[in-house]
Order: sequence, then structure tokens, then C-alpha cells
Amino acid sequence: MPRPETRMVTLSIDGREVTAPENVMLVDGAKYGDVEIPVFCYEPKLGAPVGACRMCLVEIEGIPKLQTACSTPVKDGMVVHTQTARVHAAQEAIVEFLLINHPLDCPVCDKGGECPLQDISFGWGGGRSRFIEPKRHFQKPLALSPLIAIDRERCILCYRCVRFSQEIAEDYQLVLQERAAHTFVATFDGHPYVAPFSGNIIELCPVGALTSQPYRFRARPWDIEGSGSVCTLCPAQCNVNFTVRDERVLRVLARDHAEVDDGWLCDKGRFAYQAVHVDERITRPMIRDGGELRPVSWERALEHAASALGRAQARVGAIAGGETTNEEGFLLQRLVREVLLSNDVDSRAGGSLSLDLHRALGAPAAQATVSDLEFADAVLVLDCEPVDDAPILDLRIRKGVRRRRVELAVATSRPSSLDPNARLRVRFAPGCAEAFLLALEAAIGTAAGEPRREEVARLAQAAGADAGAVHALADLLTTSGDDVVVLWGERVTGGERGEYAGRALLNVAGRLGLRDRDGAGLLCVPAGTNGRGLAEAGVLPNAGPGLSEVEEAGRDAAGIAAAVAAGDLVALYLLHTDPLRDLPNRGAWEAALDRASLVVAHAAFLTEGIRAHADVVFPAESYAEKEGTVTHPDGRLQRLRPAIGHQGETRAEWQVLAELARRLGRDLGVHTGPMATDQLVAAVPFYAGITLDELGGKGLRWPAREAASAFPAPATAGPFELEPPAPAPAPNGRLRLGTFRSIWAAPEVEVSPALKFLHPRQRAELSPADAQRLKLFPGDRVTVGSDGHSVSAIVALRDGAPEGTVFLETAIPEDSASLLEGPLVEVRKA
Amino acid sequence: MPWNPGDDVISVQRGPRPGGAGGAYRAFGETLRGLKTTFARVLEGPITIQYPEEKVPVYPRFRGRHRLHRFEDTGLEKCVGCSLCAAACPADCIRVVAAENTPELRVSAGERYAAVYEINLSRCIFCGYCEVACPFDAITMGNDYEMSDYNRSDLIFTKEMLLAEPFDRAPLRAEGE
Amino acid sequence: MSTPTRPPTTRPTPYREMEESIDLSAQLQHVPAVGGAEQELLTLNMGPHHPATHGVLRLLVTLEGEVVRDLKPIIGYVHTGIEKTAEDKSYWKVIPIVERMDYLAYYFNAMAFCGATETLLGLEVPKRAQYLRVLHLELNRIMSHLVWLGTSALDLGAISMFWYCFRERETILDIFEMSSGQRMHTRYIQVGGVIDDIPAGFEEKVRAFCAVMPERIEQYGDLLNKNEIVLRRLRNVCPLDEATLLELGVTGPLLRAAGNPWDLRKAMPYSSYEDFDFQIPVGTVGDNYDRYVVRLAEMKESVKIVEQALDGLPEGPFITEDRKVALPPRHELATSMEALIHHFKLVTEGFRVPPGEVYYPIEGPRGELGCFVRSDGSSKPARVHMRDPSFVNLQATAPMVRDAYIADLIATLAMLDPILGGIDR
Repeated sequence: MPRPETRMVTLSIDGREVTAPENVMLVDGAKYGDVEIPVFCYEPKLGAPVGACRMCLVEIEGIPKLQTACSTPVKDGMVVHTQTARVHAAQEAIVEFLLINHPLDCPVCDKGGECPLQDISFGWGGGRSRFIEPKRHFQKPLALSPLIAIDRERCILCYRCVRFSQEIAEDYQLVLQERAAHTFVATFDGHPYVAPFSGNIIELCPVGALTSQPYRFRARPWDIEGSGSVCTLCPAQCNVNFTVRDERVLRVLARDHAEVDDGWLCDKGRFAYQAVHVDERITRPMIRDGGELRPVSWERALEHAASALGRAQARVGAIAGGETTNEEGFLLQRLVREVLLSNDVDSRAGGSLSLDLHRALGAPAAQATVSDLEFADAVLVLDCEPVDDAPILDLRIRKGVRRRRVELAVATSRPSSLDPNARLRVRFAPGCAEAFLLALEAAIGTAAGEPRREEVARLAQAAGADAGAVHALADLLTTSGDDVVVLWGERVTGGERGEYAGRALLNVAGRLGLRDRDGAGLLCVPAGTNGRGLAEAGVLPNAGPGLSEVEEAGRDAAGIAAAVAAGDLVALYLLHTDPLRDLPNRGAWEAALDRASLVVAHAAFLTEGIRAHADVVFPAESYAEKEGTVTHPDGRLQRLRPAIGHQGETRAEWQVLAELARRLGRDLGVHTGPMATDQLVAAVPFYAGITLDELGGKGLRWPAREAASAFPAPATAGPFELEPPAPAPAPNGRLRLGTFRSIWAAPEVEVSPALKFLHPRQRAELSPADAQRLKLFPGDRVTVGSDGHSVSAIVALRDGAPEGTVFLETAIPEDSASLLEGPLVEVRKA
Repeated sequence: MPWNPGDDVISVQRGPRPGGAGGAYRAFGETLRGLKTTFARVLEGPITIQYPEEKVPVYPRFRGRHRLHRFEDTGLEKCVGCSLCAAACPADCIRVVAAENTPELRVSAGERYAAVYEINLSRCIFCGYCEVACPFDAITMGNDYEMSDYNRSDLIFTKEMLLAEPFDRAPLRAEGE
Repeated sequence: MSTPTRPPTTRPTPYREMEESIDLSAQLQHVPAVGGAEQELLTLNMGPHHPATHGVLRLLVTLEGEVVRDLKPIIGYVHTGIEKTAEDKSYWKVIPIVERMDYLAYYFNAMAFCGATETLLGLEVPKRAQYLRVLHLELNRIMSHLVWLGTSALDLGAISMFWYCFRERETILDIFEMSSGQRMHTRYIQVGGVIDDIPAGFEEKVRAFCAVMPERIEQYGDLLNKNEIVLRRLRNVCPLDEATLLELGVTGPLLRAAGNPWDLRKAMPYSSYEDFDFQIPVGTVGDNYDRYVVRLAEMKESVKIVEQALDGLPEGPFITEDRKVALPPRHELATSMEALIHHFKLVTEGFRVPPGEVYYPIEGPRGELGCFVRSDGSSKPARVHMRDPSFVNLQATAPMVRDAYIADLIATLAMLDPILGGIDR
């Protein structure tokens, strides 16, 4: 579905000639002529207007009664008046009505000073009260959830929060109860409103009815400063605005970017800022001394790390975590490759892919953008759960389905929260994306008339999927339109067969004609926030900056673990990552960390791997302190800007990396953050010419720039000849193991006082049929085990989960699924 | 002349030319006249006030050192920490950090209270806008005008200092109000 | 192809060089011998800390013997950046800031700024507020002249005058304290009117002052008018003619002393000055003596105006009833939501002023005090500039004292009445 073309119409507002796009509402159209019409309930992001507040009444010639400007589209030749006596009388009356039951709370209300009700009363209201009767009263203040306080007396019933819950987040929890003056906002069942996106209603509320609990009474608008940056807690990289008072981040607000976040934030992005200012945070360098990590001076920590790294030379493996910026990743690989003369540097959890595949999957021609999800004809969500992996994309897909009638297909192993919106749901066995993609490719061939029905059946069975559903999916993707976007999770290309799954994905993309087509393409959800940027900055074992060839490929993450355990490598350099938490195969990593003679880590929190194994810990900057760039999965370079100074003794990571290199005898030539950016831009040919100024506040998609032609072309972008993979293991009484990383599985959530209650415990997601067979009930404690390892979990049932599979969480401190080795596990009642 | 002043203008009288015989007369005569004026003033008595033994009384509207107030009946603080005074202050000398009242710790009558309330009197210009801005009459400008100290840091008045009764009340005049 | 214009490379203003570049060579040349002996010009630095400069004014005086051949005032020692500060404050908060420019004419500063803002807003000020403003403005004028008279007489060696003048000034400051709560920098005048009505007992106190004051002015005259020392120090000393003064832009008592009856209260009445009956004292020669008598006579006229303002004080509101500009009455804050919101918004953000610019001149104690305000439509002024009469009048120093004795320079400076707070701003 191509983006609709806009035709301009001309109308007259207050005697001025105004040219505005056709079909926009009068409120928005008036802005083209610098005319402001006050609104409370109208918010274009919430979809169709409801006309609930009546604040936007205007006079339109030819219509006897006043009309709501928020729900009247502009038309050619329309004559509108917003300054007549009738309109003023109506506006003053509406404000007076709204204020009748409004409590005199401004001095104690958190919204005071940034409150649309105040602004509109001051700007358009009459200024005098006639109402002397007692006001309506509700019990207040109440907690709508641990994150949101509700004050029902202040509510003006604009429906914004309810519309958000019903039509944007689609969690269907908020409703209006009772009638008339007694109407109030509540959850349908009276339970707290806990949902991944609940915090957005705080920002939507035009009065002080819904306020943030963590920000409660913290500051006033005149006490604070706003500072725009980017949230690096997940790959969605939403644009945020930090509210800073006295060098402390007190709040995070959305910074509307239509191409990234559409103005929404998830609750993790909105509230995990608290992790910047908690006691758990490491703010001083530490050295292991007598088995314990003890704070030391920077000088000692740097000297210790430098001398130990110097001794290890060439036998150092480095891993960069997802929150690493492009500059830090670039400097890390320079440190490892140029100074330590090692090739073992990686940033991917799932294992190494060939350089050619990286180039083929990252090619600008096959790249879809975030907004393509909204305007596509069909979207295929492939083996990822947007709400966990990149939450804001979940809202974008819902918007596309609801407003633009995008045909959504979900092909995952684990049931997705998007299932109810999808036209089609296909399940396959965990880790069998390769077989599934081959089956899909064959099915698309079948739809085009090739006789491959049997092949489809065979491959679908190997993938543990239903052949009929695969055919239906192929039909959907080929018939709904040309613009197809495949949103695929990085776990598709994870594991030993990741290379082949990636090729299978390229085959499907080739079949669907996604390459070289605007509005269609592939969009990867990487496992780490800056997965794409790190790959492009050269933090891959087999690729240098700009996905260039390296003379000698190094070991990938799993290879590094094995080599350290075997004694081939002696030192580990961990940049923003705790392998026990973030990487699969915990057993191998525990062995490696035990054996390593030196572990240098940049960490913000003492997670289990760091606490037990790190020898030198450098305090890591939080994202509110960082300076640098990150690359969005769709290729948008975005700029991080420091909102606050470094907390405690924290130093910038680029500075630490450059200092280490200097102590090891090599000057990297980086004395400021922007110098690192310059080096990066010079080293990556397809970033050529990008400056920080050019990135500005909105970032820049490098695939849309001219320099993108310098992207190294893959030797072949398919189609590939592929062997059918081994079929998914038959459960035989056991269950297949699937893993997922919850949106809440992050150390930032663990330490944030407000979000702590959401930090996940291990749970075993089962299909009701399996639960019945195993005689398990929701809430039962079970042990899930394989090969002598086991974890404890609570049973949760999920409709739509494929039979014969159990899903467990990774990236949590205790009982993480990364302890288990699949593919089959046993579930026993504990 | 762009405007005609009409008869609104009076010419002032110029003094005589100095020197000469007149000058000799004036050196004595006018000086004596001046002395007469001066001595006549002696009869009016002194108008000086023996400060600091004697304090200058102030009018009710006088804007002296700030004071924070409590409700007389409940003892709760009137200030709810709304920060309007900080917003109104042209010298940016007020700092308020609010916090929430809990059933265990009830400080003010509203939902919130001022956990930190500081006025930097070395920056204050005594314009009284804080008093005007306060919707609860929680802060008023008191009568005290003796605020000098040896240390700048001692001039940052905390909430406790502002809530406390002043040691020496400045006398208040009866008239006015 | 036009090349993009690059901003000129900025470098710190070379104050040191600028100061050193002040060229005195012309004055240092050898002048023809007087009395047979060859004399050299002497450059003397006076100030900035000099009691006779009435503030931190620095004068570079070129002397030939005792005779002043040239003089260069150097200013900026009390530059406070008030005009710039005003750009960062809402209109309401600018008032106490601009009051502190000319610290002897705080009501005038506030009046000029509020008048300019009201003009931009198109706001009608209630009659009572206008009368209250006139009342306080004229008291302020007397107060300012009293400080001038006391310190000037002190410069001439008359210490009693200083005590007498400050005694009357004290009464006026008491009156100010009674109505507004402060003796100086009262911020009594607000946009739309005055901040509060006058309290009970105020009228009696002002009337008592008005009853005494004319007699006091007579006594000052008795002491000084025909005093031989005063006559010798002032009469025909350092005169400057009307034409030169006009060329230099000098206004106020200095211009009127030279015979030009230019008074903005009459010429362009503001704040209901047209309702009052008073006269403009003018001098004839424009020497120091005329400057002295004109000011003395002005005090008498001011007392007349104050009395008339009290007599004719109309009933009515003391500040505009436009709720979008003036704070709502305090008693409404506890009951009216509208009042609370308007109070909150006015206090925190302030009212917005339509875009435009205005120059609003009033007759200050030292001459034309004009306030220029440019608004960009926001709640903070985009530019505030004060045409301070002291600044302009200071230019007349050099022409006045050229070829006079250095002792007369002190007297002339006293009669010029410059206020450095207003000059440097």
C-alpha cells in the first residue's frame, strides 16, 4: 500500500487564505495558517477524533451551528471563523463547564505549569467563576497502577487514555465507568493497569488526572531542563527527552519521531531511567583483590588492566554488548585488532555468519523502514515477539493493521501478542526457522504454479509446522500486494544453522521481490540494542569497519568461550555485557570465566557474571550520560547526547578505551567523543560524510544517502541452493525447549525502584493441552531439566502455544533458560 | 518649539551677582540669616533614632525577612511545596523540593509538602513576589530587617529557620492598614 | 553563485587596547606660554572611586594649571546587564529589575516600563491607579531632588543641607514604606495599575508632609539662595546655551535651566498629568545657579501635584480588571478555579504581549526617561532598553567645564546630577 498522496486545498480561516492538505481535520489545517484552535480530546496519534470535549467549536459559513474543528475535515473553499463572538462565547462556556468540577489543586498538582487545561483556561477562558456550589468528589489520590496515580476529580473525560488502551496499545484494560458527572476512568476489572505501554497515558492526559508515580512531586516545569537523546534499552531506539533537575534524570518523555517511535514509549523506556541514580550502580573502578571486588582509583584500575592485557597480548577475546555505541564498538575493535593483535572480537550472541550473508542481509536495497510496517500491504512477523524484542514496533504494527488494513501474518514458535490482530498465525518448532523458510519458499513457488506441494509438506513437517498454514501464508504474502515487509528476529540466524536460515530468508525475500522496492523489504530486530551499528562498526570476528574483509577471521562469541575454556585465550574483555546473562549456553561461559586469567569488564551493575568473575571493572556510563551514535535496525544513525554529567567517578568509555590503548603503547588519536565519530565515519565507507550536526535531533538513514552505494555488495544475494535441514526433534514424551527474552529482563528493570515489581521470574509457558497431559495447572512450580541441568519455573498456560513445546525466559539472574541445553527438556512437577 | 507651553511657564529668580558691596553685606547678613534658620531647627528637637538600642518601627506592609507559617490549630505547615514562589522570584533565590505526605509523616495540609525550602537571602531582593505568588499565605515577608551575618552560607535560610519565631521582633507601627 | 556568508571571527573585545587608544596627544601638545613660562598639559585621573563623582564615574581631565582644558568621562563600572537580564524574565518579573537602574528614580523606571508594556497590550489603566502613580512619582521626584540637593551642597561645603534634605527624604521613604512595604525599589507600579491600594492613614501622612514641605523648601532657599559662597561657586559658572544642550540631547532641569520649557508632563501628558495644575520653572542663562534654582522650584511644583492627586483621587479599582494581565483578587484563590488557574499562569509564565515595539518616554527627575520594549509575542520581552537621562546628560559635562576651574568641575558635576546606576545599567 503506497503512502497516500496529499492534495492541497485552499480555505479561508479568519479571513486568511490557508492552504492545507486535503482531509486533514480543521484543527490541523488551521495550523498551516498559524491559527490555533484549542483542543483537549483531539490527538491525531490516537486515530479518529471523538469530539468529546467540544473545546474546538468554530463557525463555518453555511452551517448554522458551531462545528467541532477536530472532526471536520478541511474542504476547498471552506470559510471558517474562529474569532467571532459566538465562538468566544462557546469556548468560554466550555472552559467554565470543565472547571465547575475541577478541584482547586493547581498548587499541589504535578501537571501545574505544563497543563493544557491551565493553558486553555488562561488563553481562551472567561477568567471569572460563577459556580459557587460544592464540587463533585472522588476518593483521591489512588494508584491506577504502581506506576500511575489517578485523581478522578481532575478528570475532564476526554477519553484519551481510554482510547489509547482500546485502540493503540489494544490491551483493552481502561474503560469509563458510571455515567454523567459520576463517570470515571478505571480498569475494567478493577485490577491495576499494568501493561507494557501504560505510561503513555500520563503524557496523553491533558489534565493532572493521570500522573507518574516515580515523578510524583519531584519537580516543577520551571525547575527542570529537557535534554533530547535516544533510549538504548532495546533495538527500537526510541527518541526520548530526559527531564533533568540538579544533574539528576527525573523523568523520560517521548520525543516524537514519526520514523522511529511515533511518539510512544514503552514502560521500560519511560521508567528505567531510575537505574541511573541507584546505589546498585557501579560508579568507581574496581579490582578483584583477595577474591572480592574493591573500589580503587582509576589510575590503578587502568594500570592493572593495561599491564595484564599487555601480558595476554593476542590471546584476548572481546565481546561487546548491545548497548555499546558505534564509537565504542569501533574503538574496541581497534584496541583488540591493532593494539592487542587479536582477531577475537564479536558482538552477536547467536554465532557467526559469513561476511557475504551479513552484506546481503544488510544491503540498503532490501532494507525496510519502520514506517514501512505501517504502510505495507502485508507484514510478516518472523520468529520475533515485537513487544519483547522492540516494543514500540508492536504499536506500529497494530496501527498499520487497525488504520491502514495491513495484512498481518505471524510466523513464530512462541505465541505472539499480535496473534489476535493477525490474519494468519503459523507456529513452528523453536529453532526451526530454516526449515520453515524453505517450506515457505516452496509454498510461494507452489502458489506460482510450480509443482512443489510435496516438498512443502516435507519441509513443513521438518519445521514442526502445519503445511496448510504455510500454503495459506504464501498465498497471503503473494496476493495481498507488492509491498511486503518481513520483520525478522535475529534468532532466525542464530545457532549452528543460522547461516543457512539466513540464506533461506534471502530466498524468500527474492521470491517476494522485496529487493529494490521502496516500501518493501526486510527489517531485522537484533538481539542487542545497537546490533546493526556494531556489525557495521566492525565488531564482528570476520568483518572490519564497514563490513570489510579482514585478513584473518577470529572466533565468534561461542568460539571465544570455548577457546578460553580450553586455554587458547587467557583474557576476556567484556564491554557492557555479562555473558552469563546475555549470551546463550551459560555452562560454557561459566567454564570460560572460571578459566580466564583476566576478565576486564565495563559494567554499570554487578550482575552475577561480573560479580563472580571480573578482575577489573570499569564503571560504565548510563545512556543518559553517553555521547556518541547508535544505528537503528533500519539504518538510521541516531545521536546520543549527554543529559547529565558523569555520575560518581564514571568516565566516558571512549576515553577508557583510548587510555588503555595509550598505556599499551598505541595512541588511537581520540581525545574527544566527536573525534571517535569522525574516525568511525572515515572508516565506514557507507557512512562517508556524515557529521554529528547532520544527524541532529532526528538522525539520518544512511541507506537513503548517496554514500550508501559504497556498501560492499555481496558475492551473491541468492537464490541459494539449500539442502533440507534435519527435522525438528520429536518430543517423545519430552518437550521442545523454546526461549525468549522478556521486555522486563534487564538489570535496569531489576534495580529501578518503580519497575522492580515487573522483573520477571522464570515461568514455563505451556499449551493447555500439554499442561493437561502433564497434569499441571497454572501457578504450579515445576523443574525443567535436560542433561543434568535444571531450572525451576512457574507454569503459565498460553493459548496458541504449539503442542509439545515449553518456553522459558533467558536473561534473568536466576533459573535462566540459558542453563539448559535443548532441544528437548523434561518438565516435572517440583 | 513643537509645543506651546502657554502660561504654564514661570521663570525662576536669579540670585544677585556675587562680590562687590552686596557681596560684603551678604557674607555677613545672609550667613546670619542662614544661621537663624539653622538655630530655629534646634527647637524642633532631634529626630535621630538611637539604633541599635532603639529599633526603627516598620509599617504593616514592610517586607522584611521571610517567614513560613503553620496552621495555628493543627500545627501543620501551610506550605505545600508548590514552588510558585520559586517561579515568581526574579532573583532565583528560592529552592523548593517537594515530597509526598504519608499517613505516618504528615507535614502539611495538602498532598505534598516542601521537603526542602531554602531562601538564599544574599541573593534576595526583597521584592515580595513570593508572598504575592503564594496561594496559601504560607510565606510572608516578616518585619525583621536585621539579617547581616559573617558568612554567606549562613544567609541560606532553611525551612526550619524560616518556620521558627524570630528572636527579636522588629516593632510595628500602629498606623497604616 | 553567492558564497555563504561566514560570521565574522569573534574575538574578545579588546577593552585594554580601546582604553589605551584614547588619544590624548592633542591635549598634550605644548600650549602657548602663559605669563612667560611654558606650561605643559596635565592629565589627571579622577575616580572611579571619588566622592565627588556621585557614583563610580571615572573622569580623565586634562588640566592646564587649574583650568580644565578637556574632560572625558569613562563609564561602565557599575554595568549590571539589567537590560539583558530583562530579556530572560517575564514582564512581571522585569519590573523589580528595571527599578534598580536609576536607583533614585525607581518609580520612574517602573512607570516607563509598565507604560510601555501597557501600550503594547493596549491596556486601559484605571483612573485611580493613574492618580496613585502620579502621587508616588512626584514624591519620588522630590526625594530624588532632595538627595541631589543634600549631596551637592555637601560638595560645596554645606553640611547642614545634607542633614535637612535627608530628614525630609526619610519622611518620603516612610510614606513609600507605608504604601508598598519598601523604602526603595518598591515595585509598587505594576502593569495595569499599582499593586495595592493605599492603606488607611496614608492620606494624612502625605498631607502632613505636603503641609511641611513648602516651608522646608523655603528654608533651603534661605540657607543657600543668597549665600555668598554659593553665589560665587554657582552663579555664571559653567553655563551652556540651549542650542548646544538640544544638540547634545540634554533634557530635564538642565535644559529648562537654559530657558527651554520642555517637560513631557506638559508636552505629552501621560498617566493623567493633564488633570493637574502645575507650572514649569525655567531659568535664563543655564549656569549652575539656574540649575539649582530650577530644581528647587520643581520640588515646590511637585508638592502641589501631590496635593492635587490626593484631593482628586477618584474611587475605583487600583489595577486593571483584565484577568489576563492582572492577578486575581487574593480572596478568590480559595474558591474560584478560574482565579487559581489565572494566578498560577500569571505568576509562573506571565501574560503574553502582542508582537510590536514601543518607546514610552516620561519626565524623570533628570530628564526624559524613555523605555523601549520590543515584544515577540511571548511572555518575555525580546528587548528592553532604557533611555536614561543621566547617560545623555553626561555628554554635556565636557562642553560645560571646558576652560573652567577644576573646583568648578566638582560643582558642575553636582549640578548635573548623574546617577551612575542609570548610566551604566
